[in-house]
Amino acid sequence: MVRALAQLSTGLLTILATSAVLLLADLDGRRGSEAGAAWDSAYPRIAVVQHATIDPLDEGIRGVLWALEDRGFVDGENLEIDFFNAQGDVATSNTIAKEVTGKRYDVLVTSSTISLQTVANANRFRDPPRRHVFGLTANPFEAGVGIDRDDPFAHPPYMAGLGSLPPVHELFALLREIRPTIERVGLVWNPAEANSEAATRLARDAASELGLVLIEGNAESSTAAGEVAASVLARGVDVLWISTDITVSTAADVMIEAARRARVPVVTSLPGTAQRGALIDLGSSFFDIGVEQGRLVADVLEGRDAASIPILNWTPDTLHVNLDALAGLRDAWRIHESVLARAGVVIEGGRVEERDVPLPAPPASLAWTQPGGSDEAGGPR
Amino acid sequence: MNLLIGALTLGLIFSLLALGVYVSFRIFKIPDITAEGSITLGGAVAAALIIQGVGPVEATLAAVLAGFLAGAATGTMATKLAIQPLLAGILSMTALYSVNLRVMGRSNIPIVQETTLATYAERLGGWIWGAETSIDVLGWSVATRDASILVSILLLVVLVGLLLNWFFRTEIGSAMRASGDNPQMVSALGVSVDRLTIFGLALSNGLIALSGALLAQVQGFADVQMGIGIIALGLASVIIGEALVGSASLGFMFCGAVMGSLLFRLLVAIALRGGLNPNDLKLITALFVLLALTGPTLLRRIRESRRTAEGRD
Repeated sequence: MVRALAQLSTGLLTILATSAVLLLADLDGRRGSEAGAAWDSAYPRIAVVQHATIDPLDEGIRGVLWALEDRGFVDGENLEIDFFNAQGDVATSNTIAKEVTGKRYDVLVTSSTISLQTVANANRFRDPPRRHVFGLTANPFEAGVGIDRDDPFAHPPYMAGLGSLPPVHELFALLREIRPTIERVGLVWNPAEANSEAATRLARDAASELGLVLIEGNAESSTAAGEVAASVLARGVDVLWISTDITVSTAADVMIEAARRARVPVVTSLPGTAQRGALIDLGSSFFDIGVEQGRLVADVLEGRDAASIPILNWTPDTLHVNLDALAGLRDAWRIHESVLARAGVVIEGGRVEERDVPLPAPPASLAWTQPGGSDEAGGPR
Repeated sequence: MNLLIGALTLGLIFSLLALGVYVSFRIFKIPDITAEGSITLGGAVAAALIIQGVGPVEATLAAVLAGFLAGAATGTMATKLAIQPLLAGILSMTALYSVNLRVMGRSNIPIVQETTLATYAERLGGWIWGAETSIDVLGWSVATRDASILVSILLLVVLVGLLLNWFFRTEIGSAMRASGDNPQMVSALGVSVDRLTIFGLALSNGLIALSGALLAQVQGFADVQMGIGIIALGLASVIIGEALVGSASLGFMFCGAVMGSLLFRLLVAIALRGGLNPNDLKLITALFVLLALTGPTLLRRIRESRRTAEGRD
């Protein structure tokens, strides 16, 4: 027995020592500890939790920070922000969730579905739970965190956030409007992505409603996306759609090139792609989605009760049209002036023209005026 | 304290993964990559069954069985079809990606609202601590739910460890160990090395799937991407464990694997608590593991050189 303990002693001691280090770092968190009652700083402190370092999430966080600054919250000046990133590791995401819910952050900000799930699950059992504003989550209603799609106010009272499903029905309807004869829409998507799956399901519904046929191909990596796009194009499609799929949209250039060779136009749900050769983008950039989330974070920091914020699907969509992409198409596509009038960005002859079409205003129930304060300002981005 | 309990809980869950990796990597000398797929398979099967209303115990057992089959498939490829074991693992892992999506029917299944093993652990906590939602540990307030999950998983890991220790001392278990060390001798004794290898890899992946099933139930969801990079975690735990206990009998090696897994998660937690730049997290984790591996050897060398220096005087 003694020998057994001696054999295990190095390991046990190392574990005890590392545990002690963790506990020493957490002395502030002890019950009744004065230091723990407030942070060292007089400013509010928030934690920003990101699941991985990928462009969409980086952009979303950049949008959140932009909105916070727009509302007067500057990191290091009157707000302290701690950034956490699980680097794509689900186990680390769980540890981060424990860390941020264990501290007295004023608001927890999460980006992506998995971060929402891990933080919500850790937060549920904190007493009291921390205030939590999630974003960049296509479909929070099916994330199992207690949000009801039919009743926007039925959610945990400490939780707020936005769903960001792209306007797929609107995009398909627009395509029908531009070219009533189209039938087959090609799509490449990665079934491992919860957000992409949600967009695909929307697309299936929209397609069947509008009498379109969705031709799907699955790509599990960005490198495969070009090849799968070629196979989808070979099956004969009138248009290739790039959804908000992160894996696939990373390879947008390759797919646009494949479509150009097949003389088929590309349409996307990601603004900014038109400048790289797509014909039409209809949707929100990840930055803009982040800005909407950032506004909610600012609301909550200024005292808005999270319980009073409806959880809706809301994205500030814009339309981008690239008239140069019409050249060399197999079918004679024509974009009418009535469509161009709605576009925020029109590209013609290599020139990018930003038109004065304002982003749609958020639903009235989302808007909030600080008691005694002025209306929130939109401002240019 | 919450962070510590979270890290210990995850460490214990992943120690089942480490035990599974120990069986394939050390006993059978096969670096089995099936783990990346089978841990997700465990989570997927458990979550898919639980949302169908199957009891969590049955769902977890089904997950273990699924992992067992996945391992058996790799084993069959590696032996009967004479495919390089590494490639056999890659093939299984690749196939399991699709299988997992099929099993789940979607990429992410939340089970927070369902009755899971975590709920059972919570009930156990209610039985021990009564209606209290939090208890006092050394001045920190700890949610009884977290404490009861930690205690339950500790008990489960001890049980699994004892079972493994017993199993590898039985006749068939000893034959399995021998077949990893000296396959020629075992086949000369008239025992089928192939069959032992298939069973061994099945056992290994059953353990790994159990780890995945527990992870899904504790974190409240299964995600098809939850296995990414997990083999590195398992291998690191096994090797850290060996550095901790040195060469020893099998039981100690199992203890080492569990301690390695615990230490790994604790180090990640410390790195997070340290508030380092998130982008450096993986680099720091790798440095920690490097330190854990080289530390004991370095110490020994220093001690030895001192001894020789003393001897010279």
